[in-house]
Amino acid sequence: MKNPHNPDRWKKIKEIFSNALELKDEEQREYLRRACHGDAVLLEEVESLLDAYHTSGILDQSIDELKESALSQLKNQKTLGKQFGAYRIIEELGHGGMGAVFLAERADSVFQQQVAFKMLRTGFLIDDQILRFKSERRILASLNHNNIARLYDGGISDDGQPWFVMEYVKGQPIDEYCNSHNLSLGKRLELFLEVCDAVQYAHSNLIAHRDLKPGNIFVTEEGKVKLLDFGIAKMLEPEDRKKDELPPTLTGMLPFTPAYASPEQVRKQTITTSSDIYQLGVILYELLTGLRPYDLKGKTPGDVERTICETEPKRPSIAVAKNTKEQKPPVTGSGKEEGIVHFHKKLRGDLDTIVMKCLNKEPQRRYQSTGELADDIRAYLAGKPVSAHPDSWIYRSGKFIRRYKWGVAAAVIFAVVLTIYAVTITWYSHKSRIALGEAERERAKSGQMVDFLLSMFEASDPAEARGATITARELLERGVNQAEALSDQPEVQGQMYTVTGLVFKSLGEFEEALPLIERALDITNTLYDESHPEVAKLHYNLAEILHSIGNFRRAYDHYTIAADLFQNLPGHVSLEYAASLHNIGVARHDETSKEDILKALEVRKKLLDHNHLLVADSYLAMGNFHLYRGEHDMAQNYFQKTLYVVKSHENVVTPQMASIIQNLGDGKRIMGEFRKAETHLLNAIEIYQSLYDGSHVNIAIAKKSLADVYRDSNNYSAAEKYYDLEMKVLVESVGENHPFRRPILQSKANLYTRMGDHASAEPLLRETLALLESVLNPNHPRIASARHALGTCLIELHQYSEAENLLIQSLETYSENPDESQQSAMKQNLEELVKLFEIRGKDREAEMYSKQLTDLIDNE
Amino acid sequence: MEAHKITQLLNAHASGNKEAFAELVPLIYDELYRMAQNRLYRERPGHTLNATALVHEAYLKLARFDQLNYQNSSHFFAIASQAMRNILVDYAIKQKAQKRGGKNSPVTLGEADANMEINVLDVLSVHQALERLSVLDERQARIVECRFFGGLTIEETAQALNVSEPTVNRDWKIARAWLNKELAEEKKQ
Repeated sequence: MKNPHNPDRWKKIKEIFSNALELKDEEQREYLRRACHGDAVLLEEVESLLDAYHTSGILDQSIDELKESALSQLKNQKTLGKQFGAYRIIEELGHGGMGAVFLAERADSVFQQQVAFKMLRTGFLIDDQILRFKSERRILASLNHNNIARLYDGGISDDGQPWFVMEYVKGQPIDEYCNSHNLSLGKRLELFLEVCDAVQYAHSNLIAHRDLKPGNIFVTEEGKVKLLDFGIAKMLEPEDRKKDELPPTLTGMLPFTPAYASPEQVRKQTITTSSDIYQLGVILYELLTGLRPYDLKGKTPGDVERTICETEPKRPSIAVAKNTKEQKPPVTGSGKEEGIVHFHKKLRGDLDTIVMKCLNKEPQRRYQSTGELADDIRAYLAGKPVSAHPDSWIYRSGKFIRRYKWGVAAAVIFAVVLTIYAVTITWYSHKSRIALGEAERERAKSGQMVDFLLSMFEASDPAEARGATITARELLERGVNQAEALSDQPEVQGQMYTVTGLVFKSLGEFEEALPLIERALDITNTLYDESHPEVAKLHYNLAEILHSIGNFRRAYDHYTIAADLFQNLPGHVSLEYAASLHNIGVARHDETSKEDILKALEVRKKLLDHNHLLVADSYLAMGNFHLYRGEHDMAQNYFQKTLYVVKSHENVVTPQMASIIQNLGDGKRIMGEFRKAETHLLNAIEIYQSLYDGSHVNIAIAKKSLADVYRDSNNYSAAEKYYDLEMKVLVESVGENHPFRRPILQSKANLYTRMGDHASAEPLLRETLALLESVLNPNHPRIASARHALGTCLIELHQYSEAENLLIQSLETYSENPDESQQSAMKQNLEELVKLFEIRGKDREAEMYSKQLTDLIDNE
Repeated sequence: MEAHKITQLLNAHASGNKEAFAELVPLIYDELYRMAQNRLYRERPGHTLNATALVHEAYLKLARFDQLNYQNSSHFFAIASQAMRNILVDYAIKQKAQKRGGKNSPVTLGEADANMEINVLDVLSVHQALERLSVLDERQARIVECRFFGGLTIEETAQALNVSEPTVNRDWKIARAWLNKELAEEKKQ
């Protein structure tokens, strides 16, 4: 039925069609009916063309890629029958992005040997390059390994194109082979080990492949691995020292396949064998998951570079689990990889770790040799611990446990903890000088192990840490249970509580950590006297935990004890000591604070780099100290120092960094620099948001600070909205009783007071006061200011007698610490009292406080 | 110099010498390879070559060797589009035959495009449909050739075929609709 028209009728159709296109829908119908004069066939024809006009078809797609292939094939055809060196081209086997592959044979017919002939489609421009190509070719020809396709010959054609003659390998790319044979995880790994062996052999001959990918790794019909194109990529690359002299377009031709390129490759940095290890990681990832670590589809070169150099790929187990859930087909292979979805449980743990170690952005943090990588895979296959987690206590325990089943698991944990701490325990009984030195060294060693263990949980990515807590937690809980039963061995029991407590602490599970550290301290107190460093450390850790859960009063006590004990330890200048001093200073919030904060700063500067964030933390505390005393110049000076350090860590994304920037923002707000304050706080919020999910306490607190800026810059409605929002988030995530509710309550009360809405402020001020009284000493300056605020509010609400009590109490506290920082608060307090008594007609009292006020002003 | 020869042939073709075309096309092929070669050398592997740019560049190169007049330059685009169509159809036929042969060839230099198969068949369909269209309206078929195979814009097509832009526009719209319909019907069968 095709083409039922003649040219005349077609002309008519075209005319009606073109006219109809000009019209609106409703006019079109009418026009068509008239134009077709009851010719139903014509009408239908035009209507169907109009429909087709509005669909998109082949003509709207680009055929550029096809054009390119067609042109290069034409070129290849001209190659057939030609002779290069001793080889004659027989037929084309295929072609791709970088060139074409032909079947060829020796022209002299001495041997009936079929070879693969590769013609690269890039040409050489520089004489140096041609020379280097020739020398490289000789080196490559010397590679003689069963799993590496031999290079027989190579040269450069008349029109400057390099060619190679290689062993002709019949087979499939490794990924296709694995999938079409539906290989098990174990078999895939064994095949991959063969690949590693070949790569290791080449590396030992100082040759890197530089373009490892499944398409270059064939598996023959006999199941043997063959690596193709070893070192070819390097030959095509302009020499390093020449790179600068080349036009920029030429440096862009570095041959690699983006999906498998290492960060140093896409950045065009120096390539070493470590790049191969990275590429092996990508291949392993793909063999185990059917997916690639990064989705580069449709990305521009710039996006590709950013993705590869800056983003973390999903761990293989997570990638598979997610992919299965979303039912997306794997990106590679023939579609026969249903088997892979069952791998994901096996991937979690060692295989994840092995792959991720290969994929590290920094070459020095990858496996240092292919041999190491192969060893880890062999260890995994044998069920032994792999090296990828050196010295990890939890990890090794987990490994033992999986091997020996749960029956003995707890006993094993116990044994490991015992080993780590045995030396610390013996320390006390061998207090001779020699033993002391030795014990110190050993202790340092075991301390390192614990540090490592703890650092495992301080993952920069909390999402990752959350994943790890599931297994670690189980392990820890079993450790605690086991410790309960150890009351006849108090030393070990104490250490057990300490270790598990500290792990919980580093996981942010402070409520869990608290009783453990308390018990550890109790036990340790019965074993050692106060000169034992362990006692000081436990007080310090207890203080840290208490501080984190908002019990500042108890935290302060333990920081003080810890600081005293540390001070008496000979030569004990530690970061814990500094932290204790720092926190005492900050908590005390009075004239004497300065001394402690500065001493802590000194210790930190001595032990750390001067640009360390802890140093910034000290500067910040000094800034705040001066700020609250109204010494804005001094404060500004310290804030400047803080900012200077912070800026040298621009790309550091940690809670500590965010906290410092946030505090800096708070400082700037108080100094009235609202715009700067806002910038800092938004920055801090951004860091927190990249670390935590949206409901995290720290985000809520930082947003609260931002709301304070809006409040102080008189943007009341924005501030109120933020407070309410953050309070809601906070209560939903941590519950009604979290200590961090208080700062929001207090700020919001302050807002209502500024707005003159004292009735709304009152309940908030009451709650604030009650919360502060539950965690601080009764004469703490912050309690005084909370009473002061409530008292002032109650005057406005005509609740005079209660206001009187509160204001007299706050005045007393202020008077106990008569330093400058309290001066203005005291003045205000006195003014309120004078006003109160005047209102109530108690002239005598009013006069008394009025006199105090004048005295105070006169003394200034 | 081949460029010079091409110019001569273009001039002959423009002045009505139909045989010139038979000689012209292989020369244009060659010029296109050289262009492709030159461009590919400068591009990253895997970078998709812009065929329109290729044709334009081929022309510019010719123009540098020899002063083509305006008429000829336009003409060149039309012939290049026709040449490109021939190249693609030859290629498609070969690829189709190879698929049937089912050869498992080790292509290791760059990745094969999974969608290639469809494109190859599509190209053949477009080509065959265009043959039918040319019976109805020769000019419409030429316009599609320039737009689809040559990658030319409406404006360039108008110059290449020496017709007005509104005409090209109108013809292109209906030809595109017709091809959409034809190819969709073909797929259904």
